[in-house]
Amino acid sequence: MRRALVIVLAALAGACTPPLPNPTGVVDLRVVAASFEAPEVLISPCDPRLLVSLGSGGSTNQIDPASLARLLVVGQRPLTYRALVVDPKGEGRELSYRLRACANQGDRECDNTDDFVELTSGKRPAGEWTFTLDGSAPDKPLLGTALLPDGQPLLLEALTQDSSRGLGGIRIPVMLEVRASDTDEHVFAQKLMVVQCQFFPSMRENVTPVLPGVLLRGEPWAEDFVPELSGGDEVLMEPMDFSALEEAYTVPSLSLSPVNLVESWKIAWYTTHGTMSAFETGGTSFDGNTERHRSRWQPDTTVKEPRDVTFFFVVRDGRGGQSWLTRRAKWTP
Amino acid sequence: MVRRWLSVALLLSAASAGAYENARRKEIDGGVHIPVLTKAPTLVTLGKAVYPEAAERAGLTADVKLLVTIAADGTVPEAKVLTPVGDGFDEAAIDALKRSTFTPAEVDFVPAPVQIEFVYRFVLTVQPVDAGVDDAGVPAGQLAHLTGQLLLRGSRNRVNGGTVRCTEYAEREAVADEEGQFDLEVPAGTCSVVAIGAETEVFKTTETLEAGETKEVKFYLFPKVIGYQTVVRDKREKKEVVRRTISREELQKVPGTFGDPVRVIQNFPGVARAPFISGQLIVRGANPNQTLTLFDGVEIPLLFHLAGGPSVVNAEFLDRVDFYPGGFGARYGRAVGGVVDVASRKGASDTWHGVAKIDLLDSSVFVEAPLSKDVSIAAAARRSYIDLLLPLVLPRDPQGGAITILPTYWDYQVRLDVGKRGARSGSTFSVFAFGSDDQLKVVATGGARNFDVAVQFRTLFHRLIGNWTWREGNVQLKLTPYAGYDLASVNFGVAKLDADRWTLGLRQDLGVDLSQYVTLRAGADIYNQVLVGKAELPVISGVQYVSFPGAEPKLETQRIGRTVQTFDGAVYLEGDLKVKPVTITPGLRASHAFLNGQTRHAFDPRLWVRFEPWEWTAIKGSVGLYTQPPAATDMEPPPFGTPSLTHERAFQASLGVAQKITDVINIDVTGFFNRRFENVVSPGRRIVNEDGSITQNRSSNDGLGRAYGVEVLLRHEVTKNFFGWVAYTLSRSEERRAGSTNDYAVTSFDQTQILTAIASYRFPYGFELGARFRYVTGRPTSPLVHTADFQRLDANRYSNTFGMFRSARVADFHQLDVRIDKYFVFEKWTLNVYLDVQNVYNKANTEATLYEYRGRFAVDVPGIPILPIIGIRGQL
Repeated sequence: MRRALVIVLAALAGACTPPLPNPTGVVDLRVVAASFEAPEVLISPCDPRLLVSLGSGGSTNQIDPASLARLLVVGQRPLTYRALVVDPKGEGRELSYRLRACANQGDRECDNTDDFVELTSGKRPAGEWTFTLDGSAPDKPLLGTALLPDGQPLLLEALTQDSSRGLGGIRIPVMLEVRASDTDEHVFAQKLMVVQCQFFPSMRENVTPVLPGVLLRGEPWAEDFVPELSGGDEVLMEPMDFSALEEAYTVPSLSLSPVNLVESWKIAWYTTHGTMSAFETGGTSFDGNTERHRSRWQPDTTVKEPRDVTFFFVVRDGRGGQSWLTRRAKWTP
Repeated sequence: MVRRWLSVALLLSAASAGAYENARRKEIDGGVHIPVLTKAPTLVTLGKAVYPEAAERAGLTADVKLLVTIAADGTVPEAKVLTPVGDGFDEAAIDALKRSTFTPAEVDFVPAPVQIEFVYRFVLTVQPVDAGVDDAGVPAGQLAHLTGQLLLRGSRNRVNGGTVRCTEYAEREAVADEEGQFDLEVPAGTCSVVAIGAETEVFKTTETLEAGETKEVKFYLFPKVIGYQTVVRDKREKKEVVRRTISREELQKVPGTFGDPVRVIQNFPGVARAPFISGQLIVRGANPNQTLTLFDGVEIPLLFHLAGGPSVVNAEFLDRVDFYPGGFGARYGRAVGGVVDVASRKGASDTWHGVAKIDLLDSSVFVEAPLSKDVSIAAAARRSYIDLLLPLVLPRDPQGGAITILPTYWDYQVRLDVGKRGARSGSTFSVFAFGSDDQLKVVATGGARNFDVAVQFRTLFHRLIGNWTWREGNVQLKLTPYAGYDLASVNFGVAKLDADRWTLGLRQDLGVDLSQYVTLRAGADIYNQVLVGKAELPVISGVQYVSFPGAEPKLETQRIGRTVQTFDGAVYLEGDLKVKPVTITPGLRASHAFLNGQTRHAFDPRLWVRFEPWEWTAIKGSVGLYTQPPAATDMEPPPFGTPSLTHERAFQASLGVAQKITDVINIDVTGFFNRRFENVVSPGRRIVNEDGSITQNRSSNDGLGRAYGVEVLLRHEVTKNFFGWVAYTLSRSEERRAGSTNDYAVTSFDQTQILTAIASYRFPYGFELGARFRYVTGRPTSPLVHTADFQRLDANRYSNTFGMFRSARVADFHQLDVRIDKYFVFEKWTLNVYLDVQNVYNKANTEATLYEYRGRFAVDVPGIPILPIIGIRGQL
């Protein structure tokens, strides 16, 4: 059993490694979150054989023409892409950006030749960026009907490259590339747009998860309220109860039987000063336990000057839905 | 005063070994007939040496160490001085030995010539000018008897062959028999007793004997060295190119291995260093699960308590460990890597012995004893109490809640042996029962904790192994039926998994020496297993449905119940064709398996060649096919398994030379090439069916591997004071997936150079010092290359960017471990206190790598810092 003791000591040795940056502290250029509205587009109803045939590049003669039409029509649905870009040290500098969509989820930069569609690009300072993809202008193309340079619809190419042939939804990677011209900071942030096939009547289109609010030390924290915090004590933050908003939903199993699930939202906690005790809370583990949502803000007490602190609370529903809340506070040492 | 001389004879080797130690080696090993010393020679009459006159006048004394050849009839045709001392002592000792007689030694119960080491001691003693007694013509009524037993101090072992004299009557001498019993007849009066054994210091005392008295005594003789028992080791015939055998002495003394046999094997050539201190065996590039570990020929489900704890079998119960890194005999199968065969030992036949060990975490006891002349028993048990002590040392829950960690384990072994000792033919029987139980309960709740944890694991197994060994002439038959029960249980929140497994098996090994040119071996290796598994667990994301990254949903719970049967029956045949100096051994193993409703076959032809141009040199080579069946549970329908799985296969070839340098030092150089194919790898193939459903196989036979290299082992066998070895491996192991466009890449465990040096030396006054030094090339890694931050916003994770796959290596590993033992020898028992210091110079070796969350840089996780461990062990 001495070995067990040794293993414990070995594990402790791991704690002797140099401290690593805490992901809750947003100190430089980062895309904190991004979302699509709607987060999911449902093809209703849908025959899985259609996806297999289309994804394999096979004949569509055997497929119900109505189903095929529905698949193609769905691509004309207008979408809104939003991104939360944070640049604490940028002091309002202009950031260059490119937004593009591609067919291969493994394409880390989304720029494989003939395999991506340029959506929009430009320069703007950090903040909440919104891009409408409604086909109203060349830089606002409809995502679902976008064509690759070789003329192949992006949606069908994404289906072709999906080893699950759309059984988990046709997932189109949308890449936001952000670059700061005065530094080497360079970020690629991938968000998946999901086109789901309605295999069962119980399948419903996903709704964006939205946190109803945040509690600061147990009290509601309104968006326009800027509390004054001081000292080095931890500050407890929690979300307001959202359990009623978590949706029940259905997905197909690999054998095409319905699997009934319930959303179990995750919250990611960020701050522009100090750190949060928990980076992510929520979700359901393999053993069926659901994690509570609490995180404590720990100010950086090595700083001797007052600071304006911004907090970001990003919620994910595990189906592609994503949104965030922002709160501000003043801290004095 | 007139000086008289006294000669004292010491058998250094054979006699002291004791019959029971040798009897333990009565094995049919691997179906191979192995000559075994079944009876050690004992001294009958010692020729009286003529004390060299000049030396006597000069007052010189000497110990002459000789190598004595004892013929099959017990006479001494030849005696050679090993260490000349001059002054006429060497010639006198040779002359005396050639006039001595012994009881014949027996090999395989047949008288046979052997060689032993012998010390003839020339000692000058003072004889009283007028002793007052004239031995010659002493009336019988004036004689007395000093009778009793010579025992080794600290262990109560019998001092077989020891001598007892009264210095007043030096010509009267008694020699102790196998039980250490002696009977010395001397004139009544004062007797200045001098007793000495082969491995003991001179023992002196004074006894006063009345005329006609028979005085019974026990003399405890202090051992010259403590612990190691020097045994005449027979040359075990080898057909395999490489078989490393580790004795019990080595198993328990290698620094840094905690006496665990599997960990000792990690110090041999061809075995890669496992991360941290895990007991994984990575042999010649094979995965750990491709090396078969057997206990008395039977598979066991786990080797270590609590994954990294002590061995599930008490180290005192082990006799030896045979390790085959490849090219093993047709008796072994179901493995494409290596084979480890751990052999238990039978109980003592002389008297009862015991070992008790206590440390902070567990206690164990081992007892062995003869029940009658032909029946012996050995038993051991261990129980941990870490569950009681851990709460005392665990820090308070930093989260302010409650943490409960309750690891418990126990194990037991009982072995009963029946058989007439010393019989040249007939039957012997044994029954061996052993088992182990591990439980771990971890609960962490409350406080600032967002997530409560409740986990419970249990692993239990029992094995019952019978053995019937029958010998008649040149035929040996060994039958080993066995039965087993395993239980595995996991409770993790709503997830519950329970599996009960029953095993029935039979091994049969037959060896026939048809002539001096031909030996045949044949046997069967059959077992049947039934596994009944039950599970309650959530629907498994990614396995039963296509999951989405981000937040795992609440899932439905499903109940699964399965009964899985495994039958594997194998037969083998191999034969040695011996035309000196060449031995050719062709072999074939054929197996029929019924796995989860499916039938699989395998035929493994193998060939070994051994060429011995000189007595101390052997050139050996082998080629062969090796197969390993998939686990029946891996052949479940998708997505939990892959019904089409078939045997993993390997072609193994090796060529080497073994050179004996001295009686105890040898070197072995072996080159090897292993090609593995149809290895089981995960994930398996994903098939999209026409109806839109997906068949996701859990695994496939798409794995390919190859390994090649050279292994060198320079070894000093266990002698009285020293053992050690230097092992060096230069190798490369690579793998790829069939159908992939990627070329071969080194395996994650590939270690180009592995050097291990081990030495243990026994000093006077009960001190022993051992050391192990290791140098290993760093394991392969893919270099981190940060060009930009790559975020996956749905998963809320970053993707690291790496250079060419496994094109870099972490820093090389090197470490020194030292062990110091001190033995305190009491009359009837020995206390051993030891200090085992790991990583003496506190090298921060890289054991793992942590990456900054955006993948901008990496930091190394160091291994174990300097770690001293103190232990206490008592031995009766």
